[in-house]
Amino acid sequence: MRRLLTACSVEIYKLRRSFVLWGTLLFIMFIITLFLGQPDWPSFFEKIAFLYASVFGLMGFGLITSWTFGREYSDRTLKDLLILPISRGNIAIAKYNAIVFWCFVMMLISFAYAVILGFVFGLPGFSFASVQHYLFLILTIGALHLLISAPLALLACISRGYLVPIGFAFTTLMLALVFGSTAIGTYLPWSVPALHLQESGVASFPLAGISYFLVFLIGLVGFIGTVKWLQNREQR
Amino acid sequence: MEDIIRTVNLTKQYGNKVIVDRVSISVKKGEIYGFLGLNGAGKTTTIRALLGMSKPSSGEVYLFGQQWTNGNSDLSRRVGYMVEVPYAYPRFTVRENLNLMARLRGLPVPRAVDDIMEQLKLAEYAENKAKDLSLGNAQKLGLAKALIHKPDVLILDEPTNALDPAGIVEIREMLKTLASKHGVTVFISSHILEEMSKLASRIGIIHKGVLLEELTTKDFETIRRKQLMIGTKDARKAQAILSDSGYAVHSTSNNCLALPDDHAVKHPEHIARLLAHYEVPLTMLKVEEENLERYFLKVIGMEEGKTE
Repeated sequence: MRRLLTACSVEIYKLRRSFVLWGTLLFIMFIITLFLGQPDWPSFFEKIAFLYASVFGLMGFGLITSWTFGREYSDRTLKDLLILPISRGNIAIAKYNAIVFWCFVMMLISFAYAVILGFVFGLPGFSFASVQHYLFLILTIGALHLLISAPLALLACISRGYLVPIGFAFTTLMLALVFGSTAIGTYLPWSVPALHLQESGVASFPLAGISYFLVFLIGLVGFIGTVKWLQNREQR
Repeated sequence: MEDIIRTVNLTKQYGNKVIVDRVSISVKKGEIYGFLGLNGAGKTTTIRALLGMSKPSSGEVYLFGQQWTNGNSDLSRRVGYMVEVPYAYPRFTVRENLNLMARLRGLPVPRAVDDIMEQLKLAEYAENKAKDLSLGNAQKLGLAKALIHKPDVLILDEPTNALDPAGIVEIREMLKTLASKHGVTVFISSHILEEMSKLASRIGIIHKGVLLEELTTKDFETIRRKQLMIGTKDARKAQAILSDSGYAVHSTSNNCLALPDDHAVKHPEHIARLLAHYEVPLTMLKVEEENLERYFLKVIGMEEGKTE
């Protein structure tokens, strides 16, 4: 357990020192700033939640997941990790933990930034209830995205870098935008976070229990696949 | 003495291609084992198998008498390695890279890091980013990562590759000290053959995946070919005199004469006396020993500058 905790803290440190993390956060904050021109707080939060349900989640979290696993191949440091007295499974778990930790931190920072920005520009209709509601909604959407991002780690390991998973993340964003509003969206894991957001409003194609199960399944497959790949695959 | 590294008929093949073919090696405690081979001979594949990074197609690998499998953390803790070109996180400083390694190995930070930086003279580059290091210092950083936990076994692939002459001597002396004073077992591959002859206590020659020969440096001293090299003002006359006296003699490209005859090698003063008797003045007289490079090429069946 101590080894796993050490590996987690090392991975959290590595990600903290990475320009990809802070670059993604800056990008998110910049886009949030662009959406400031809303009539009131609920509309502003609604836009931010939608951005998290689409671009921020699929591309932002996707980029961080792809980088965390893919950099070990592009920097050629993976073999250093594999020979350590820490199991390969623990290394994969530590990396996932670091991704989850920083993605939640990013969500909290960007949400706090949005609140400060809204106050500075004097948006009307503030209430603690709406802050609580949208923060919880964004964190839930973020959790769904973290599950969806898991296969990107496997793709990074298979392709030995971060470009293929980033390309895949972009493709899933396109798929979610095209098919999210159709009947297929219910069964397309990448469109589930956006549809989850619309569940509070009127959705043409509501989510079913299977939708969430598919998100969970894809997350599980991605996670177990990554661990197994690292454990069993010949490492060059 | 205890076998620290042992492979038994280690074989690795990809599809039908056999990369390492039934290689059996044993390396004892405190030994420096030099592993020689051309590119693609199977050195790195063997090293990967020794490190558990690659599963043998057949045969076994033992470290400290235990069969080596993935995830054997007790063995991992006792092994230090550097495979091919050493890489580090490029945007992290030398200190940060070593801190990460020390923490993952459960070592005290910063003490372990300071110690290894001092040992390898890396302290002045502590705050330099790994991407800004010279090749030689990057190599030293790789070695520092391999040595930071004071391993019992060091497995090194071309560790002196990018080092300058002073760096090579420094690393050679350090490895010799580790082996002789601390009982560290070193398994090292290198293409710098002369360097290997100065460093290794035993040398294995691998070619096309097959371990062709194993010899101690003492064996090498004994079996490597020696010849007496002679320089004279009149090479033609000297050659005729020596031939008439029963010596096998041939001229070399630099207008010298070479006598591989054992008697001539052991008694060069006889040759000097003989030529002086016929008034052929000598300009040079020396016993030349075959170097490891030539011996290596001979063993793998290639002459210098020629292919098979």
